[in-house]
Amino acid sequence: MQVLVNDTPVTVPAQMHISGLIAQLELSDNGIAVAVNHEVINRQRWDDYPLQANDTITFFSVVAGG
Amino acid sequence: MLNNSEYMRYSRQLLVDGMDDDKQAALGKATVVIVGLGGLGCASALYLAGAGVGCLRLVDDDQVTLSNLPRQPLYTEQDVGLNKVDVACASLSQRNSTIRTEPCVTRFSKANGKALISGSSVVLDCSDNMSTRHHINAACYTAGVPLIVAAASGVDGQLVMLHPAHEHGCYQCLYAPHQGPANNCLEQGVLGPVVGMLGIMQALSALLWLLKMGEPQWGKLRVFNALSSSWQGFNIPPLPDCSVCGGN
Ligand SMILES: [Zn+2]
Repeated sequence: MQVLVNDTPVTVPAQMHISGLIAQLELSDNGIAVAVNHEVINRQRWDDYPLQANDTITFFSVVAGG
Repeated sequence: MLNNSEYMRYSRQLLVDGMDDDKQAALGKATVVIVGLGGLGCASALYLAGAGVGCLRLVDDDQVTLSNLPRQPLYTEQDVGLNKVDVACASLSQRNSTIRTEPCVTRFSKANGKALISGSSVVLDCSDNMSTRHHINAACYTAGVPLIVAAASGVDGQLVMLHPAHEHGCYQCLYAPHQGPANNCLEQGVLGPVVGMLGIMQALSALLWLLKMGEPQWGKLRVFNALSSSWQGFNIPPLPDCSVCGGN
């Protein structure tokens, strides 16, 4: 199935979870956060949050500086 | 009731559509807690003092260093080595002597959080590290005080408005306690105007909330990127088992 990752179409297997997507994209999970369809998905849900075809996925940085 | 000098001082603000004397007077009775007097705290404190927020409680245990000066406009070269909150309170009083400032030379913690936010109308998280941010979130949820969080790093900024009485996730629903920023030296860098902009956004959000103007974006994370000059918005759903907000 196809999903949109930071505005770029990406093909992923069906029944993919966020953790699987991070592995497929070879992203470091250090300092990143993710939203699916404009809703933040907490890190503790990454292993079992199922992606759907045509989901809009946005990776962004965790920012804590001030 | 406003006196003549207050009418003069706040005349431009009083002319804004939706503003009136009562709202200005209410602002004068509000207490805003600012945790962290770095780039975010300096920017937000300047504008909240200018607007006439009656009491600003400033919390930070740091001293001014030379590397603070590019983006922390409350301090000058003469202040290097002094406590930030002492300098900040003096600097703000020179700009608006009609408001009260409360310097708290301490680090916000689990132990002192409740006392530091007591009696406040809203808290601004202007801190610079994850553990303090989680302490502030927990204290605000326990006390039921609204919280406006900002953060900046590199060319990125983030703004979050949280209201304990509203049905949305809290800061811990946004970021897990162990989920830190990327652990590298790039994280330490920041462009002054980015952090200044986010601090001013915090001041603006606090002001609009205190003046009951507009619809606050409770439960939303807003993400700014300076290179594309763009904002993105994300909802923060409550985690059912969150130890802070309990999923509301
Ligand atoms: Zn929560």
